[in-house]
Amino acid sequence: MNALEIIIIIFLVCVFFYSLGIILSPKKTKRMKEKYKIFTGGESLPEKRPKYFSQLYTIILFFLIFDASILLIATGKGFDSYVFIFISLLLFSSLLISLRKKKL
Amino acid sequence: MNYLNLLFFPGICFWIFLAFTYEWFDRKITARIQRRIGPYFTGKAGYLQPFADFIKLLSKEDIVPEKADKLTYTIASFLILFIPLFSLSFIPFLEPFLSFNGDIILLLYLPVFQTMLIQMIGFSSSSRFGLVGCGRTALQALAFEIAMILAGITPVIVTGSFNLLSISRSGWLVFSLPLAFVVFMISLLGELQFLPFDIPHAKQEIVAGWETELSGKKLAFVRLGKDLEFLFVCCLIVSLFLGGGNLLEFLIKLTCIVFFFSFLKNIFARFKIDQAIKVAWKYLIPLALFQILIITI
Repeated sequence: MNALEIIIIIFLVCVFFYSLGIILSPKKTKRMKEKYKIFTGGESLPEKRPKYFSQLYTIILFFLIFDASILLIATGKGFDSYVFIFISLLLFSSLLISLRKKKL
Repeated sequence: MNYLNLLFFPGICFWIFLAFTYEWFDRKITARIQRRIGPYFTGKAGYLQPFADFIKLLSKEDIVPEKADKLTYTIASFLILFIPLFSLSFIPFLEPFLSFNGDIILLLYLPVFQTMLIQMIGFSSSSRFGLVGCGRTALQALAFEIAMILAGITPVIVTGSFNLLSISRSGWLVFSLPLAFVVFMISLLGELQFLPFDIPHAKQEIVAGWETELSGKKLAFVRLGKDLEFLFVCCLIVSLFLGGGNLLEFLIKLTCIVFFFSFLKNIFARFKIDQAIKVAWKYLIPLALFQILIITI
């Protein structure tokens, strides 16, 4: 069994649990929505996010890139496909974060 | 090892079963130390309580905050279960599902990736408590990660192998590397955000920190993910420092480590963030470096 097969199976198990959650959880009706509004008192979060928010995003981005590059360098002798998969996962998440940064 | 092995024994079902068992064990120890009974009603001696909690959370409504970054929020809470499951496929319960030269580096970095996901959840939830929790998680990770990796790399230096399976077959390294073992344990307390380093979700200060806005299946995923991460980290300690062994031996050692972690996290009071960082930079990192110096001379 290779790493890709294992990753796919674990991914499918996670999807199974997630769909189980979707099936088991109740659906939100219009009446419930009104109830929630009363419960929260209509309080909303501030429109603009604090400025330091984006700085923390950048720190995480650097951190992920650092981790990914360490992995690349350190496993130089024992490269295998799953290492690449994980590096791509790491890079994917950092990409996701950096894309989100534009929204701020 | 085939697909059925991966799905059942010693695969995903076995890992989840072990994770829930150790959660119950941990809750019982915590309760005993605090002079309570702990889980009691569900199953014998409350054994099925973690299972019941998981199913209950799965069936609860999933509320995502209006201002949350929904994509990141969902992906991060999904991956938080996926990463420890993948990490556990390297652990030699019987035979590991995956093993290659250099896997130890990957395994030392996977808990760090888990911490990153925690930060992503907190940031994207757009909650002020989540944000504070994430800042604290980032700070703590910056300090404890270095100590953890320095201590975790010492068995590699001693055995000369980057493969977890061959390290676990080289016997009880805890006796030749006591400092590294202690540093590894303490830094993992920090990585797992257990007391006295549970500052990112200090309940009396910031509700539940990065977890505050989680609910329903996302919370169920995060809880199970944290349990699996705890299991993985304990397995890593057993494989690196206690010499692995056959399944029974492995499980006995694993239970001892879980007991030790539970005991430690219940006898300390919470540090402040500056104190936690100080512990890591002032004591853990120099100790780990000292251990490396001893074994290389």
